Amino acid sequence: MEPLRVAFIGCGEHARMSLYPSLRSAFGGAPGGLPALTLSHEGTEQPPLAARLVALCDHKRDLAERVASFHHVDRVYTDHREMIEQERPDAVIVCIHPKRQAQTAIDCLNMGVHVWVEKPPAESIADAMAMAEAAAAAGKSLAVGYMKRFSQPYQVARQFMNQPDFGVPSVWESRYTYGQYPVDVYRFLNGFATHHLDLPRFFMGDIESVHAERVERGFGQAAYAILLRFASGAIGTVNTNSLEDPHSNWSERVSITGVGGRVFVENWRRVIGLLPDDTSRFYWEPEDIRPSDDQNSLEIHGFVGELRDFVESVREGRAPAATIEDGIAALRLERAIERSLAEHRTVQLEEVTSDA
Amino acid sequence: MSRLARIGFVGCGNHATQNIYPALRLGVNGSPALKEPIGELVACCDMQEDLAKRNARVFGFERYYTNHLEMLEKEDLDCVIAVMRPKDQPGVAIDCLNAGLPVLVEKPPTTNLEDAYAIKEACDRSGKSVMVAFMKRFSEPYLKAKEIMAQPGFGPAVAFEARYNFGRYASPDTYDFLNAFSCHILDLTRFFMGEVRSVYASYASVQGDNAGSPLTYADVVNNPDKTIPQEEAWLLNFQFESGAVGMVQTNSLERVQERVLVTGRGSWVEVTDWRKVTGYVGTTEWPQTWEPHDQLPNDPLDFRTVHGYTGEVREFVLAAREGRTPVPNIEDGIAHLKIELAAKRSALENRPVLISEIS
Repeated sequence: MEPLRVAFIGCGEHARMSLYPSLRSAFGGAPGGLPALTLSHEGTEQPPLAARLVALCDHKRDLAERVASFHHVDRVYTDHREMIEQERPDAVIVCIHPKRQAQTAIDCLNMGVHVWVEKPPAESIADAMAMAEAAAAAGKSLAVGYMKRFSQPYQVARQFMNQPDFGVPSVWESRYTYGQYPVDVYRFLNGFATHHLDLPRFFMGDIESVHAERVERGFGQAAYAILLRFASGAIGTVNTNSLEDPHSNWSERVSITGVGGRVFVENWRRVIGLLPDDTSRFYWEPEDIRPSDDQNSLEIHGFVGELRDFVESVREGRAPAATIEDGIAALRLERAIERSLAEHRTVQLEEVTSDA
Repeated sequence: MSRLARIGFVGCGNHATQNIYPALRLGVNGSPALKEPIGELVACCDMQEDLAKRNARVFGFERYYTNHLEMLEKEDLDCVIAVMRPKDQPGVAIDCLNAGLPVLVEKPPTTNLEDAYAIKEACDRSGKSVMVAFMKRFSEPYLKAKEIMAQPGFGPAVAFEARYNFGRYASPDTYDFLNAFSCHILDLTRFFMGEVRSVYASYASVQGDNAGSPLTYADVVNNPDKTIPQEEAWLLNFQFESGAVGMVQTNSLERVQERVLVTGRGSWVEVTDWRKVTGYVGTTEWPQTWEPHDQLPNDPLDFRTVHGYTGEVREFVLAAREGRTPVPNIEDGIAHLKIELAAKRSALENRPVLISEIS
């Protein structure tokens, strides 16, 4: 099978730091594991590439050309429609402001291209549903980049809690915090907290109701205490705030209680798990003392995994692991939190079918 | 030099591809974290054409070659990065120096002192330098530890302890364990404590599924079969020129593991797993601690930056532009080789060996 032909829309800072550098591993162009300690690599076959980047696009031409030059992408565009028309890629990666992602993704889907968009997919439920409708009408995939789902610590924690002795997952606790947030550019719940509006569903299943409290301490400085009830009957709390430091250690913590079993993920890194008999404590950390691609932060944190899954899903003709439906679910939870705050009551998620 | 440094790269192997090529984006020309680019990627080279072609495409070099001499002749370069087996590096480094170009070579620079001296002579002749990629010197945890040691209350560095381990290692006909792996900790010892005066080494090996008593170093070096993977432990005791003392264990019996501790006066600093720094300075009740910020989804958290690959390639390119000799350079490579050879002689002769005996 020929490598998938992929195009990229967006050359912003996040794309340049986390997504473009992940493509080498995600597309299968990276060696894996520790150096082989052999005299020669002669005769070793390079694995076939799963995908290759054929073109990229940004409305700032100089930026697009710089990124293209660095990543050796032959063709550069400032208009994504022209790029799709000219290049006819199989798939496109979109990483722009959530306000502008919906129309861009819909344009690409309408032109018959599979799409991956950065999280959050949009700022409104209406936009996200329009994206989902466009994907369904086109018969194409629409993946959403919730990379924490693909990150090694959370994958390891999920594996641990899937053991029978863990018991039924019953309680979710998490904290996810930041410093003063640029609320004039991004909405905090949408642009930042979306990760921890998605992760509870990833671990615990669908959410049935939410009750939220909020305190504000200045411009872009607020805290949310969010109480969740899951469809499974489990309960959960989330503390997400913009009162601390931007992305410092101690800003992210997850714990899940089963029946007797419990698992903790500290700093998006260290996983500690216990089972009822407590005979052996499970402990996991990345072995990032090893100088190899599979221990790079982009791999550990799921940026490689989310893009690899998208490429593989398109090649295999299956749905990606995180879809627009997950994006819509996070947006509905966001609206439910806002409604709970406005009306001082517990809001059922089934009440939230639109942005109103 | 006002223009961007024009960079050539020799070697497209596994380590180069995973660590050094990606560090160019982070430290030289591509990361949004950089204020401005300092170099441009002109050409890369590997004897295997498919690897050279792949790395040129993936990392954005303009052209690729399968012969470094052809690359040196055809391209207008300002510096060359050479990442190859230590056996192959001297010839390529000297070719580059003879072409008037400074070179960054991977650590260890060579497998023996003669080759390292030949590189030094070529440096002196050409007036160009060879930097040796001891990246741990540029890694954030060790730089933080040095900062703590520099605080007024730390006192003089009096004692050094370290362990630096790996699992079952390649056979000696491929890579020598003390030369190729332990070179890091031998260099770090000098980085933290200054020049070594003498080494006293103890050795034990269980290579070749040896079920009896561990083998001595004499047993191993006198065995003509050099295809047996190395499973050995070295215990090294140091006396430093400063009068300080040190001990290092480096073995190929565990898995990748690393720890460094420096004792001052009423103070110490420890770095565990090349990551977590804990320092007590003076009578403080609370330690000074540092770890990489794991939540940072950006280039500063990339382990190639945390672990010093970014810093070393950046320093090399900056030094090339400014026409100065970077540190660590071939002198540090020679110093590491002398410690290695002193340790091996000590293990054979069961006595402390002065570095001044090794020439």
